[in-house]
Amino acid sequence: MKRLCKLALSETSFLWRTLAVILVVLTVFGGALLAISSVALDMRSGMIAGIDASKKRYVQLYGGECFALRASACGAETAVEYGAELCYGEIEGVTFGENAVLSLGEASFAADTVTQLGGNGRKLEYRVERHGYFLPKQYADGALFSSQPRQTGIWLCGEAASQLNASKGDVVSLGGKQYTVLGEYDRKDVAEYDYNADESVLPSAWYYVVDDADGVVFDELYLTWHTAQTFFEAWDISDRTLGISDIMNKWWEDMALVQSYYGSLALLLLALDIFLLYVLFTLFFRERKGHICRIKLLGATDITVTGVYLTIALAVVVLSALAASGLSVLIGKHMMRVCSDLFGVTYPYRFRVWQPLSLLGLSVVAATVMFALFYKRISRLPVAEEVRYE
Amino acid sequence: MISIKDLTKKYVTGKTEFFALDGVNLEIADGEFVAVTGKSGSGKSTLLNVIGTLDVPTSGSVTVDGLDLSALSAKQIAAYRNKTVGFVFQAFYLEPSYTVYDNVELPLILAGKTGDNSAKVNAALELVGLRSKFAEKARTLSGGEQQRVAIARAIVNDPNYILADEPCGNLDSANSNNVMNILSDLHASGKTVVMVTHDAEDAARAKRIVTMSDGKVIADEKTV
Repeated sequence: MKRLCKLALSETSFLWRTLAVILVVLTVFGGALLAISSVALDMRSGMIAGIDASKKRYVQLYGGECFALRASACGAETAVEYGAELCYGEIEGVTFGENAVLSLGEASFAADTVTQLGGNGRKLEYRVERHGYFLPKQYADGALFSSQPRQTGIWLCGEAASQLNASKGDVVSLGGKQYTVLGEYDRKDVAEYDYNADESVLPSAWYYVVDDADGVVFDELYLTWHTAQTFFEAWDISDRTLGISDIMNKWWEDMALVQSYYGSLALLLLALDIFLLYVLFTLFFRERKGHICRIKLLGATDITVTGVYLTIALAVVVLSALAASGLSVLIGKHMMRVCSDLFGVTYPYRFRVWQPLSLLGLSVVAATVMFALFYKRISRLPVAEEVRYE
Repeated sequence: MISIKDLTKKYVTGKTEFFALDGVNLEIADGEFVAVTGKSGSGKSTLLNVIGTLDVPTSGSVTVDGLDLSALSAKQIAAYRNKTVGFVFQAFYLEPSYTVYDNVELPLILAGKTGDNSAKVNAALELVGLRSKFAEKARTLSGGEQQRVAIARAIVNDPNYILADEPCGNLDSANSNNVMNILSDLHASGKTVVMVTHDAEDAARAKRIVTMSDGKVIADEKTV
């Protein structure tokens, strides 16, 4: 196989090699390029909106599975309050405000409407994309939402609160700043008064924390562990209390998700690709007396029939390119994360279907060109009469 | 039939308790047109919200067609709001960027009917006299038209009960009259209509008037 490739390369013209290299580079790294461009777009829109992306980074807001629709809508409102443009909200398969900016009131209004019409409030998803703000649905950890904006301070719930291990009156350190825990939230009140929810589904602990250090004012927020850390990052407050290792763990958790999705697909296709290439090469070609010979397969004495077999090779090339594109998306995702960490640009944590589709298109074009070139070259090869598979 | 027994709804603000509903007992038979009246804060909207499962009572029970609402799961409550009752609010609650058609179709989509819903939607729009405006965006309509779209949306799933909370609160007299005519037509077609209103003229269009004060039913009389 190695000699075969070497031979093929040695007989290849400079133009063909150049073209092949360009195609391979485009195919393999196309995803990364596209991913970078999408990050750049996010950064640009952030600047247009007057948002300092380098400081705000990204904020993930969680609409908890256990909470009422309205509460989750408030989460979306919070995102907007903090500078995001809420592009659209999706509630139980119904999309609101697509291709338009959904205002604070509209978000809440839409949520109310769906509730009235029979939505059960458990499949809410607001997407806040322009600046990489994203509100994924159904996080077991808790919810982030702002229900009483006139109050200031930070609400911590779920893991975030339990990690603090604080109680009323304690002074806790968050991001190197001192906050006073004003008290544990009465879960029963939350359940009965605010959300009509079952008490048992609420997070285990709630704390009201006020920034009394330098007057940084937050709206009242309920934070999950993850949102807590991203919020602190957002204001350039590196959170020592929660621990950098926890943040790294979360990072790997996210990446594991990405890797399992794209990586496994890419690896599977690559493995298939290598196997098929091996089979095809051994079926079609033999090396004889230092020259590559086309073998006579199933009576394929003329190039037309051989072309049919080569069509199979085209499929293999497409598969190969697809595998490469899958890898490139993976690479792209990594690069997006790196961009976010290094340059503070936003990180849209969402799979965009046009990325792999565009890569697939590119792959097909590349495969077609390669096939055309191969077809012409192979048609000129002599047939090895000694080896026949009739 | 709607059966309400010893219904209370208590709000606690600090150490102060406030009863929005205080021991309400009421029975509404199928096909009735009931107006619930009273001053602001008398509990009439809370009552409607409890019947519609948009609010939960502190104690007591609401039974609709033999179904105890407090025993329903979240999924069943959603199905109840989707199929058994239809809401009409003062604020319309239309999605402004949607067309009239899309707004009316929404309950059908939430019910999982994602196929061709045109027959049902058109029939509902026909009933409120807005079929010709099906392609217009909701935000471009007048207040009266928006409320009629809201009514079409409320009936598109053919619910037995129409719950209307101040349906004419934002409308001028001509549009109010239109809306009340539609509600009367719905009642005539066999729907049970429960309407909250503070307007005596609108209330007089109903066949029964329930008056509330401080969370209690203080009067319950037939108009005919």
